[in-house]
Parts: sequence; structure tokens; C-alpha cells
Amino acid sequence: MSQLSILSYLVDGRIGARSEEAIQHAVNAIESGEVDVVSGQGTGMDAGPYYLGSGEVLPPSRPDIEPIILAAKRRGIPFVFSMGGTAGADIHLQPYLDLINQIARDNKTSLKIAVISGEVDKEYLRGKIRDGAQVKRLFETPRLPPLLSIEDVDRAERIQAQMGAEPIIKALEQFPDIDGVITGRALDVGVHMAYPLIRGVDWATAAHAAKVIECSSMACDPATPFDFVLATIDGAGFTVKPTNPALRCSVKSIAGHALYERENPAEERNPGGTLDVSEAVYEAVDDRTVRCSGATWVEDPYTVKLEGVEFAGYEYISICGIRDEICIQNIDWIMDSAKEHLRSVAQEEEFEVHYSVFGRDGVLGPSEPMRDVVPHEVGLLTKLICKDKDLAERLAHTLRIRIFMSPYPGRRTTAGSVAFPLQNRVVHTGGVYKFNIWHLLPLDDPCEPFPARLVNYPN
Amino acid sequence: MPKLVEFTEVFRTKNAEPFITTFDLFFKDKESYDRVKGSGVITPEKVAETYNIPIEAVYGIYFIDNVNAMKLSIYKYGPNGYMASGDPENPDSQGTQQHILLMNIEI
Repeated sequence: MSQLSILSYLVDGRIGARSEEAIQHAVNAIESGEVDVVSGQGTGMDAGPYYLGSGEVLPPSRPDIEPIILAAKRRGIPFVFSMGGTAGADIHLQPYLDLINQIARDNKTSLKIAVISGEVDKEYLRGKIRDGAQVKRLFETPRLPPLLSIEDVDRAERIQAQMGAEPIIKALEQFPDIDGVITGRALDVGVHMAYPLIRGVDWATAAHAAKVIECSSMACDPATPFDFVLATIDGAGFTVKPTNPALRCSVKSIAGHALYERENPAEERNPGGTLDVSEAVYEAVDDRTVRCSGATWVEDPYTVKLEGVEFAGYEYISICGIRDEICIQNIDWIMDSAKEHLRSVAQEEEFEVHYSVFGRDGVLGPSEPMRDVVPHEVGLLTKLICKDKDLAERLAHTLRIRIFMSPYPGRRTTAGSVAFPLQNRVVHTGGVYKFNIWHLLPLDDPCEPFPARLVNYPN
Repeated sequence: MPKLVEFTEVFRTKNAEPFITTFDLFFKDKESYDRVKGSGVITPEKVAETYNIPIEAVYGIYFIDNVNAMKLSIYKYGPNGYMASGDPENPDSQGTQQHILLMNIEI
């Protein structure tokens, strides 16, 4: 095969995160003709279950998206993006598609895009389980049910899946004259692998290149999420360099990136196979460019990861400070007796109470070895969670007053025992959620739950 | 005896998906790396004891020779047992403040 170059960046919603210079260098790279495809990941679950559950969206940042899409369009090269800001269900993807529409309209250009939803229909999943699919948890943690049940699906607020490269490949082949592909939730490396695989790159090299560039300039020295890298694949491997001359890739930054946000540095499980980089070779080409080769790909039965969250309840928090050492010595007594009081006014299964004592073990919890040292001051965060919103608010106020006026042993402070730094002493933080699905759905056809639809913008 | 942190230039923790906290250590040089790796101090038993978690909650310890780095992954474990990012009893939703106890282990 001839050479193939992928330009990668993080297509997220952080407003103004990127400098104009960074974007200009990337646009220059596209216009010079050295880029064959622009790809970027823009979905992630690192921030926890909140966004998937609430449907709240980190809105798109137009200055980070518009010049790149327009440059790719002018040059006639495809772009492949996963979008959603945080989670990647339909409710998260839509504002990004709306922006694409606006960009097309304002620039008096047309954008023909294959859109692939990352959300998974609950009835489709129930059907799979009814038909006997063994949907196993991805990690062997007792926190998750070993096998996904119909009840787990019912309880989930919203379910999405990390599609692999295959639905993107299918869309690119099905609609050969499109300008690009935009997906909801997708596997980060899948977004970068799809086009190289169409062009005949082998799976090991495509996956290895995708893995190195999936977080773009996070693989640079120093690591930054706000810039672009270019991977150029030839037959036996690939080189990586940043487009911004102010940055560099080093053997250390590239090889070190293999560790980032993953549990095992040598093996990465993906849909349909495992990428093994334990024998990978990294060599400096010049002071900004690294050559990578030697990864292997071992085929596995095809699965996609399902991600789902369930509603835990409405959360009300309180924050208070304590400086009185008699009070601090009795903090467990105060917290326990306040919680116990709530059990006398509401059913125990109706609510949850959680405390963090900052200054004692607020960060490390039961791992904290200095838990028994009495600090001179602590901050107490209380969380009250209840599915009935009115009851949640009332219980949170009861909890607050029970702490404020707690009759703990040795108390001298009969006018109140804690300090409230906020005028609104009980704050509603919204609905909160818990991960309840992190399971692998076996698929005979990797594209089955991920049909592409062709959309012409502006519309 | 020197603490583990003294041999490193990067020492960080982060979620590796919602159920695991992963520690990345980049050592100052090959000598520091070899000293720590050769010491045999960092074992699943030592990690479980240091973090007050069951030994089964230690997912893996990896030494990566070509970059003088070490990775440790542990399941998230809290007052009610195994937990996830975002669970109400979990005070560190992105897992970025869990490194300190490992830092202070003596080598």
C-alpha cells in the first residue's frame, strides 16, 4: 500500500480550549495535501454516570469544529467524528448535529454526512436477552451483575454502546460520496481505524496507530489535550508527529501514552480482537517524530460494550465546617445519630445518606490510615438521596438540623454546633445516577444495532 | 529508607473505566526503575494492606521496561464493598487523588 495519513484531535465541547495557532497548523496540514482523513473522538464516560443519566450535554465549541470540517470539505478528504461531549446517546449527539447544520448554512456549503446513533434501543436488547444472548459484565467486579437481565435493561435510564470500526466502514462504503461520518458513542480507536482499514491497512497496524493517536496530543511531550497529531501509516508501521511545531512526540511520550486511563498497559480488549503492544517498537525519527511498529492483533468473538445508568434519586447536599474539637471528636456519633433519626421518620429503603469528612478521611475513605488522628478542623459534606423529590428535600432539612443541633456527648454549644458557609444550607444538585450496565453484547453482525442514515446539511 | 515517590517523575491515578483506579508511575531513570522493580516491595499483598482492600481487589501490577514505568490497577472499593465511579459513597469520581498512600511506601 501507499502512505496514509490520519489527522487526530479531541472533538469535545470545551469552549475555547484550543489556540488559534493549533487550529491553523491543523488546517495548513489539511490544505497541504498531506492528510488523507481527519478523525476525532468526542465521547467519553470518564466523568461518571451523570451525563448519560441526566441527558445534560457539554455543548459543542464551534471554533474547534468549523475550520477543520470546512478544510476537509475543501480538500475533499473525509472526516470521522464521534460526538456528544461527554456521553454519546442521541440527546447528546443532537446539539452537535445542529451545529453542523448551522456551519453548512452559514458557509453556504453542503455537507453530506452519514450519521450513526450510539444509543441502543431497549426493546432490541430485551429481544437479545430473551433469545438467550449471554451478556457478560466487562469486569469481574461484584459491583455489576455477572449477566445482564431484562430487569437491568428496564431499570436503565438510557443505554449506549461503543460501536466498533465496522459500522463506520459500512457507512463509508455504502455512501461513497459523503463528506464524513458522525457517530454518537463509539470506541475511540474504532473512529480512527475505520478509514485505514478500508484502504487496506492490516488490523494490528490500524489499531496500534489508532491507539497511539486516540487522545491526539496527549501522546506529546508535554502532554496536552488541546492540539493535533498526524499519524502516517506505511506498510510495516507508522510515524506520529504533532502538527504544531511547538510540540514534539518522543519515544517516551508515545510509549508512555499506552498506560493512560487503561487497566492493562500491554493488552487492550476491543470489539472483535485484542491489541497487544507488549512487543511494540518505538524509535525516534527526528526530535519531533516517532516511528511505531510491532503490535499484534488477536481475534476474539465479536462483542460491543454496553453502557447504562440507572436513576438513584434526587440529591440534596449540605456543607458545614467544624472547628470545635469536642464536636470533631464526636463526629461519628453526630453523623450516625442524625442518620438514625431519619430512619425513624422514613422507610430505610426510601433514602440514602452519605457523609464525607474532609480533613479526616474525606478523600480516601476506608483506605485512610490517619483516620484516628483528630484534626483541628473538618468540613462535612452530607448527601441525601431519595427518589421522591419532596421527601428528599424534607429529609435533607431534617438531616441538617439534626447535625446542627446534635446533642452529642460533652456538647457546650447549645445554639448550634456547625458553621454553614452557604446561605442556602441545603442545595439540590439534581438527579443522580449509578452505573448499572457495563456489559459485552455478543454480535454476529457488528453493524446490526448501528444503522447509518444519510443526512444532507443544511436542512 | 527512601519513599517510592522519590524514584519517580510522574505519579498519578485516574479511572480506567468506572470500576478500576489505575496508578501510573514513570521513574526518573533506568536505575530508579530497576531499584524499585528489583526491591520486590510492590506486591498485591502490600497494595491490599496499604489501601485496606481485599487482595482480590488488586487487579494487576505491571512493570514496563521500555519506558521505565509501572502500572498498578485496583478495583474501586469503599465502605460498602466494591463500587463504581459516581457512586454516592465514592468521594473521588475520577480517581485522581488515590496515589498518596502508594507514594509513601518505603523501598
